[in-house]
Amino acid sequence: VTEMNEILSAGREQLGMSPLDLWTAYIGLGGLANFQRVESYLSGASIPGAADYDLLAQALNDEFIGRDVEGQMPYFEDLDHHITKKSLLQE
Amino acid sequence: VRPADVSQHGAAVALERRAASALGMGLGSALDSALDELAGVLLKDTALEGVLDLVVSQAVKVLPGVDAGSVTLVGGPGSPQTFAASAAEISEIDALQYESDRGPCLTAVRERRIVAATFHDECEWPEVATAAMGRGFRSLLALPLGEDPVVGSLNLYARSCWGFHEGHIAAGHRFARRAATVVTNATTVAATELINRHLQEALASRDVIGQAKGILRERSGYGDKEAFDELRRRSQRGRRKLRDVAQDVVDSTERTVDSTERTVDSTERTVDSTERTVDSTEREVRQ
Repeated sequence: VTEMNEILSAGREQLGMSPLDLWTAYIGLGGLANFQRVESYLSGASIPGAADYDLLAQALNDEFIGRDVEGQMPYFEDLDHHITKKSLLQE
Repeated sequence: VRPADVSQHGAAVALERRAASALGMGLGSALDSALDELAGVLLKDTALEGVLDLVVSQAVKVLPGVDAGSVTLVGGPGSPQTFAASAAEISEIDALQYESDRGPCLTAVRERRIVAATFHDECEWPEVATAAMGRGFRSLLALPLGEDPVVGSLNLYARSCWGFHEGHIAAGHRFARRAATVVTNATTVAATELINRHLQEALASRDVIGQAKGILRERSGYGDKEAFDELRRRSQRGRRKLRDVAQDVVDSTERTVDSTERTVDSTERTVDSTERTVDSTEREVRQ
């Protein structure tokens, strides 16, 4: 499980957003992965690419904004986990 | 009288037999006709709320010893939640159970069994008992709706301090089994409709964001990723949803196009007018 999986999962749990609602919001932003793939990102079974990670982070940030709740998901460029970033950029 | 718990699965057969006995006491035709009405509900014509209202109203009408009722649903956002109640005070008693995260209705759902409770000072759920007794209710029969999954519970309240005896429980069990099918189907239909609605909204949002990215690519020479990053930055700066930011980009472009079209129209009119003036002047000169 990478830092990105944990961040996405924690953000979703903080908001109490169902995986299905998160996937729908991700599709609304232009995401292409199917529901099972997004679920696997949340469970840590697979690692999202940078673009998918940013779309999911944005979907969660939109939810924070919509609910007027303090919270900010970091984007891929904000991540400190250089090893994760480097390995993903090489993919 | 102490609360009596009845295992749903273990006692199902015996309950069916006792239901038949209870029906022999003159309840049969009313209960049968209520069950027929539930079975005849057309989900394409009836919203979830309508189905739940029918379940509660029929339960209160035909089940023996029942003075009021409600349906608790679980599994959705904000659940557990009372979705139908025959009286506002019943919703209040139910809500107290959800707030305290304990009570007969929640036990029925979580442990998948019928819970028959008689409220008194030393009841297993004192806070629920106090609230119920304060509103004139002394007994509660909570029946799980569905088996796998349990979608909620049918909650039957009585003012009698004698609670629900076996015949009541058996008739309630029979009613709840039929109601569970209708409620489960209605919740499935409602959930599907909700997903469809959300997906339609998502596709509309995707379209607007796609247009906005196209405009930014055209205007600023961005690639697709840079265009999305720009929208993302604007969203965070203004603390506005990305879709709303994208809509602004599309709207501002449409305004610019409208303005440009108006300018072109105005220019064309001026040219026409000038041409007419020139023609007129030429005619005067020739004369």
